[in-house]
Formats: sequence, C-alpha cells, structure tokens
Amino acid sequence: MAHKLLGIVGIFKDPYHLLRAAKEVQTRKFEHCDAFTPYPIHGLDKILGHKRSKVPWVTLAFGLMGCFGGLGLQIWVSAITWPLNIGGKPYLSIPAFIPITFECTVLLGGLATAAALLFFCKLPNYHTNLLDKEITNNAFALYIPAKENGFNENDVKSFMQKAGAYEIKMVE
Amino acid sequence: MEQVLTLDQEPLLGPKKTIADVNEDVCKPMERFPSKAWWVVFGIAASILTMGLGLVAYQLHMGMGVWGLNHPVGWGIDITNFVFWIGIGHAGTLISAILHLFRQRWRTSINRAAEAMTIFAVMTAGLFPLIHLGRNWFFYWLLPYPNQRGSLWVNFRSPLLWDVFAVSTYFTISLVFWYIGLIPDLASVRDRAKNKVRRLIYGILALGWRGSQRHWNHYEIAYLILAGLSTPLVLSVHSIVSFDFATSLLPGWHTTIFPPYFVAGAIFSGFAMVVTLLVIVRKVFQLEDYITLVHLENMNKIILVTGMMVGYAYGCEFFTAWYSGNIYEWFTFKNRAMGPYAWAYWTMVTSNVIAPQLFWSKKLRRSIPVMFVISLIVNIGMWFERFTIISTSLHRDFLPTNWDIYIPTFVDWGYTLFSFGFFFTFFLLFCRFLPTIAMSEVKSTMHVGRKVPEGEEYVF
Amino acid sequence: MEHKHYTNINQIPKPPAFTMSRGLHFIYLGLVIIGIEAFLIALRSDPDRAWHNFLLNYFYWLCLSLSGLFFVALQYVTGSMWSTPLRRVPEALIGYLPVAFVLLLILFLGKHHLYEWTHLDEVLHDPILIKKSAYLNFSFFAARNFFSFLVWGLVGFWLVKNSLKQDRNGDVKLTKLNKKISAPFLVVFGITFTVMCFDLLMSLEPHWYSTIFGIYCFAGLFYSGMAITILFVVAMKKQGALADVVNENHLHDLGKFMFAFCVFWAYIAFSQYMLIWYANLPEEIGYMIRRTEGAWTPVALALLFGKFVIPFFLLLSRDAKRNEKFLVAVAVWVLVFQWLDCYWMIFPLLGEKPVFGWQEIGIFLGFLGLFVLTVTLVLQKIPPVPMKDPRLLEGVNHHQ
Repeated sequence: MAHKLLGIVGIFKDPYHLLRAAKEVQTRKFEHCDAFTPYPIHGLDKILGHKRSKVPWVTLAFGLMGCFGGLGLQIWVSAITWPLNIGGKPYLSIPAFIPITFECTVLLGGLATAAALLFFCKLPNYHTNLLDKEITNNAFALYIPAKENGFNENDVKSFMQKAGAYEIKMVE
Repeated sequence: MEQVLTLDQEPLLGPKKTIADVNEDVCKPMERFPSKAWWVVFGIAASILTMGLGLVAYQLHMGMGVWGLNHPVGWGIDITNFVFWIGIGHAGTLISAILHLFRQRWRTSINRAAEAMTIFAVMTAGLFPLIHLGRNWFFYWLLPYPNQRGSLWVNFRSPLLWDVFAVSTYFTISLVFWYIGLIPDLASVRDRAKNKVRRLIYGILALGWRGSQRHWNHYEIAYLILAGLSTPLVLSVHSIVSFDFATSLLPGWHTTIFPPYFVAGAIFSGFAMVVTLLVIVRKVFQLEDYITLVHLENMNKIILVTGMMVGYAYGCEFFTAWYSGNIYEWFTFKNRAMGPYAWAYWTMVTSNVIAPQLFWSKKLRRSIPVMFVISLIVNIGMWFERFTIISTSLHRDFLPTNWDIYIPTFVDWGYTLFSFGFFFTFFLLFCRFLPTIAMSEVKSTMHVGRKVPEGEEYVF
Repeated sequence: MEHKHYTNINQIPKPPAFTMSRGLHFIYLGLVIIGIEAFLIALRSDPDRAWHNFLLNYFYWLCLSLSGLFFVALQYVTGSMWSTPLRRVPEALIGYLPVAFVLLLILFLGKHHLYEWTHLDEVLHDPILIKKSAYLNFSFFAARNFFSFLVWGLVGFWLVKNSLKQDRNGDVKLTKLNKKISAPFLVVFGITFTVMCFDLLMSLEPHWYSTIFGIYCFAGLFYSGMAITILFVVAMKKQGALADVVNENHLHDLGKFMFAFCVFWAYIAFSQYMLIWYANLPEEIGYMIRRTEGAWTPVALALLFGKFVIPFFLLLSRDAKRNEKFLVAVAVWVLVFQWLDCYWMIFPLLGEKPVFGWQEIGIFLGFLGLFVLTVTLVLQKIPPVPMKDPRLLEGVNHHQ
C-alpha cells in the first residue's frame, strides 16, 4: 500500500438512503463526517452533529457597526464639522438621517454575511478535489474519514452497503 | 367515516422530471452555439445600446439643453425612466427574498432570472441620474469622502443623496445575493463542462464549491439572512425614491402614502416585466416544464393584488385631495384627470387598475397570450404613472404665468429606447452564459426520495 | 425537539373542547362591571375624557376582532397550510363583531364630545369644514359605519359557518368556497377599514389629513392581531385543546408575522412622520407638534422604543420566537403599546399634557373583560380544531 487510507465515501441515489447511512454514523458517534449533496438536506446537520452556523452573529455585529457608523458620519458632518443651514432644517436632523443610517446597516450587514459565509466555508478553495463528479448533479455522498474514533473499514463498508450505497470508494 | 380529504394540488414542475434532468435541461442551451434568433435579438439590442452611447456623446458635447425640459418641468422623461427601471427591479428581490421568507416553493424556478432582471434594471436606472447630472464627469462628488475642496461634504438632508445610498446599496446587495445563489449552480456547470476553458472559467467562478453539508449549513443561514436584509432593503429603495418627490411642498408630490404606494407599484410593474420576459425565455430555451403555468399564474395573481393596491393609492390620493379642502391639492388632481395630460392619466388608470382585473378569471390568468398582452399593458401603464406623477404635477405650478407644456425631444425618447437596449443586451448575455434557473433550489423542491417505505420512520 | 408525524388525518387525536374555569368567568364579568362603573362615573366628572376613552377602547378592540377576520380571509386566499390547526382562534375573534356593533351605537351618543365637525355652529364659521360637510356629516358617517359592519358581519359569519359546516361533512368544496369569498372580501376590507380609520380617528382633527393613515392603522391591526392570536393559541395549547396540533413551529410563524409587522409599522410610522416633519406644511404639521412636543415627547419616544425598537430586538432571534413563555410576554408587551399608539392618536386632543388615571384603567378593563368573555364563549361553543379541513394534516405536520 503506497497510500494511507484517508476515508471512505459512499454514494447514494437519493437523500433517503443517505439519511439511513447517516443514522448509522450517529449511533457510532463519529464526529468528522461530512455529506456532499446537490442541495441542502434538512435534518442532516443534526444527525451528523454539525453545529448551527455562527454567520448571524457576524451579520449582527457588522449591521450594528454600519448603523452607528452611518449615523455617526452624518451627525459629525452635518452638525459638527460642517454645519450649514439648509432649508431651515436643524443641524441635527435625525429624521432625515434615518434613510442613510438604514442603508449603511444593510450594506455592511449584507457584505459581512457574504464574507462570513466564504470565511467559514474556507472558500474560495481550488485545491481540494471533488469526491464525485455527480455530486453537483444527482448523487448524494457520505464521507467518513479514517481518523474517526472506532473507525473500521469493513464495518463502514457494510453499513453503507446496507443503507443502499450504489458505489463505495476508498479515498487515499 | 372514511372521507377522502384532498385539495388538488397542481405539481410545480412538468411531468416525470428527475433531478438529473434539471442540470441537463437548464445547462443545455448554454452549451450549444447560440441560435439565430438569439443573434438577431442580441444584434438589435446591442445596436440600440450603441446608438444610446452616441446620444450620450451628443449630450456631453451640446449640454443639457438637448433635453425637452423647460422651466416648470425640470424633471421629465429622464426621471420617469429612472423610477420606472428601479421599480422593475423590485420584483426580482420580492421573488428571491420575500417569497423565500414566506416559504413559497414556486419561486425556485423563476428567482434566478428575476434577480438577473433586478440587477440589470438597477444598472439601467442608475444611468439616468448620471446622464442627467449635467457635469457628468464629477459623478463621484455624490459620495461623501474627505477631499481638498475645503472639505466640502454632501448634504445628508437631501433625499437625492439618500437615493445615491439606497440605489448603490440595493445594487451591491442584490449582486451579492444573486452570486451566492449562483455558486452551487456554477459548480454544476463546472462539473459537466467538456472543454477545459469552460471548466476553468466556471471553476473559478464557483469558488471551489463541493456541496459539503458543513458548507450548506452556513450557506442556508447566510442565504436566509440576505433574504431577511433584502426584504426591508427593497421596501426602502422605492420608498426613498418616493421621498424625492414626497418631501417637497408640491401638490401631487407631497403626500404621505407615497412610500408604500411606490413600493406596491414597483412590485406590480416588476412582476409584469418578469411575466413578459419569462413567457419568452421559457419558449426560447424550452423550459416549459420548469417555468410552468403554475408559476405564471401565481405571478399573475400578484399582479392582480398589487394592481389593486396601486388602485387603492390612486383612489386614496384623489379622495384626500378633495377632503383636504386645499385648493392647490384639488386643482392638481383635477388637472391630472382633465387637464392637457388627461390622456396620460387615463392610460395609467386603465392599464394599471382596469386591465389586471381580467386576472380574476382563472382561465384568463392561465392563458399565455392574455398574460403576455396584459403584462405589456401594465408596463406601459406604470411608465405613464411615473410620467403623470412627475410631469403633470410640475407643469402647472402655483403661478399661472409659469405654466408650460413639456414636449420631449428626440433625445428624451432616444434615451428611453437606449434604456431598453442597455437592459436587453445584459439580459441576453445572462441567458447565454449563466443558468437561467436556480438548479439546486429546483432540485430541493422535487421531493426526491421523500416517499418513505411502509413501516419506516419519517426522518425529514 | 421531535414531533409526532401523522401520516393520516384520522391519526390526529380528537382534541378536548376548550373550557374556561368558572372562577375566571366571574373575574372577567367583574372586569366588565368595573368598566361600566368607571365609564358612568367618568361621564359625570369629565365626559370628554370618558368618551375619548370609550373611542380608544372601541377602536382598539374592534381592530383586534377585525384582525381575526382579516387573517382568516388571508389564509384562505393564500391557501396556507400551517395556520389551519389554529384557525379557530382568529375565527373566534370575529365573534366580537356583534358586540362591537352595539358599542358603536353607544359611541354615537358621544359624538359631540368627540367630533368637532358635528357642531353645526363651528362648521358654519369654518370655510374648510363647510367644504368637507358633504362627507363629514353625521348621517353619512353613521351610514358608512353601518355599511362596513354589514359587510364584515356577513362575510365573517359566512366564513365561520362554512368552516364549521366542514367539521361535520368534510366537504372540500367549502374550502374552495371560502377562498372565493375571501378574495373579493379582502379588497372590500381594505376600503372599508380605511374609511373607518379616516372617520373614527382622522376626523377627530378635521383639518388634518394624511393619505397613509389607513395603512398606518392597518399595520397596528395586524401587529396587535398576531399578539392576541398568540395569547389565545398558547392558552388553548396549555389547556389541552390545541396541545396535539400546535407546536413551536406554529408559534415561530406567528412570531415571524409579529416581527414583520413590527418592522412594517415602524416603516409606515416613519414615512408618515418624516414626510410631515420634512415638508413642515402648516395644515399638516400641527398634528405632529401636538403629539411629539412638550409633555407628549415622552409618549412619542415610548412608542418608538416600545412598539418598535425593543420588540424588534426581542423577536430578532429564532429561539425567542419558538419559546412559548417568551413569546407570550412579548405579545402582552405589544398589546400594551398598541393601546399606547391609539392613546397617542386620540388623547392629545384632550390637552397638552397626557392624562392617565382610574378612568383609563377602568374603562380598558371593562372592554378587556367583554372581549375575552365574548371570544372564549365562542371558543367554548365551537370545536377547537377544524378536524376535517383538507389542509389540517399538512398544517399539523408543519415543520421548518
């Protein structure tokens, strides 16, 4: 054996069979498994023990930053550094500052959400190979890395087969 | 006591499609050489675009006088087109964001094209204030940044500046939202690409997406948040556009219902445009099994609802103009309905309030020719709505000596035509190079493998 | 949390009927008596204040009842599944409409204490009010109110009747019929409700006008309507009637609606305020000056924070909307601030300083008792879940 076994991937034809295999993973308390699917499968995250995403916190933080930053800029410009009487409006025209404050909130919050998504997913990533070409088409794959506690090649193969995998590949 | 309790629910997609068919059917038109029809339409759009660039050059050389604007009518077709195109964009965001929050599964077949429409419509709209600036080369003065002109800042109390922020935020966030939605589909295109260049380009665009469950986890949350942010954003954009008018003192412009009224009108016209475009797209790219009558019918229902909201606003404005007891308010509205621009006013009422009433009939709202014609009528009607609001309120102001009639010149009309050329050039390029249907989302609505065998536990 | 998944409508256990204890009945009855007493005493000491309180509560509770009607119609039109198991709550809210009609007749007695335009001598000295008298005159005012009630009452009764009939025969056609009724009704509702808001509230200051006013009131209607629905749904869930069919996913959706309308109300309120503030026109700005300056500033600010900022942050997270106790607390909070909103619209006419005393509390309690008694009486009479609704199964199995 020239290569060390990294893990085993089972390929299924639909999410139902994938979930059956995932349930086996759950009973074995594997922690590093991942599934690869053409679209998100609901409930799979819980079965595989994946945590809820932290993206919302990033959005909240940057949204608030945009909110106070935008409001602050307007107040500083209009009332402090460059006070001008325009149409008899007060220097500190809070109602008139709300629209831009809102836009800044959304702009920063939205951009931060996208950035956080890429950050948490470690994308862009052009180095890791796809496990199977059909994953972005119609294949549902379950990957079990060899580093799992209690990993046993034959056991994994057999439960994948039982769950209905049409193909089982060794990743080396 | 066995009762069969069912409501017939029509399937969203055409018959017997597997998830593998989705990739095949959506990507096929992108992978073959463009058809003759495409080249012809693209040629026309691009020629109009080129003509428009000529007009821009002409205006830069001659100055603002080439527009038909005059003293009381300082805003005419230029701003009409701006509001019109911004409005068109709103349907895309509504479909992609608001319907997502409402879990309307039918949105999945149409959201991609509608979002593309949003982005190009906002770009088109953005042209008009820029063309209309006068000294166009100083466009960056619109942005607040420290400078060496003493530091000269922008006026944050001006609704026109709010527009700058609103439109640029809207464009940015829509683009981000659209791109994030595209990532899984770009990966699909990458993985089925047969030639190297194609694989490379789509590969770079797909950012290395592999469909990992961990990624989907973040992806879905991020998508939901962006939908949540886009929803108030889309309300704010047309509201801020309406503030351009409503913060003024001018009867016909200053009225408090403007923000929600403009938003409803925007969604209304936007949906009409989506129907117009998709009726063509589904035919040309043979996507009838994906963009089905169910989708079109649902959109027609939204057109009916928003059409009535717009009608409510017309009625409420007219009534309040009388109820206010203010002679200037009342004059403005009488002038709209019976003055020199009465034809524009009644075109607007007929097209926006009366024509969509045909959609009460199930048969009519499922008929492709009928909906195509109505969608065109609504587009025209909404263009005239903006024209009515802008020009008729201006042309007879408080002093009768000031009164004048606005006659657009060939430049005004030329720019209007140009906007369509600009929009369609981009839209046609989009249809060629990107998947017009959100494949991964459509697949998720297909319930594949959801039939649980007898005795098995339900896990979804 | 795992939920039971039903594959067949017959698996859903038959829910126990909704009941309220005798003691509670007496307490609410006591509240009604307190309310009547408070109103009668207030009528003697300060009739203007008594009638303004009456109008406030009349409008407040009528909106809650109409929210049920609107919600039922909306669910039929959109073909929503998720709301089917809890639909009896909004249906029962409609049951308050006949009571409200009687209260409307009482309200007419106080017209001279409320509406300037009912005083002929004042109208005759005011050129603008003379112009408006074609619309603002009592007989037309009464006719408009009667017509609205006629439409709401008939349609409400018809929708509920069909829904109850379906409980017995399970006829799918009834769902379709209700959809057919609901669609045009929503159009009529939009108009009648706007007219009512213009009549009851906007004409309190007959010189003032705002085209967005109907939408402003509608935002409050739906916002507070979701709050009252949450309270009744949770009460019925606790008591057992909805225990098997409503789970935290339903609460989540109700919470989402409440959150959405929290933002929508803020949007509409800001639009109205900012545009009037910005234009600063003499015929409009008086309304805002009376309501945001001097002693009314704290009330306006309380509204901003209490009706928008605080509930916005409270409802922002997913867990908050799925937590029964928390959601109930926010719903009560929202109902309090909906009351304050009505107060803010009506009471600045009484004086430059906000007043709050036994009259406000007493009359509010009276209406509260009347409303809860009526709605629970209806809820006790009808089956708590539409067991044969074709959308029930999907609705009960509702998940994200």
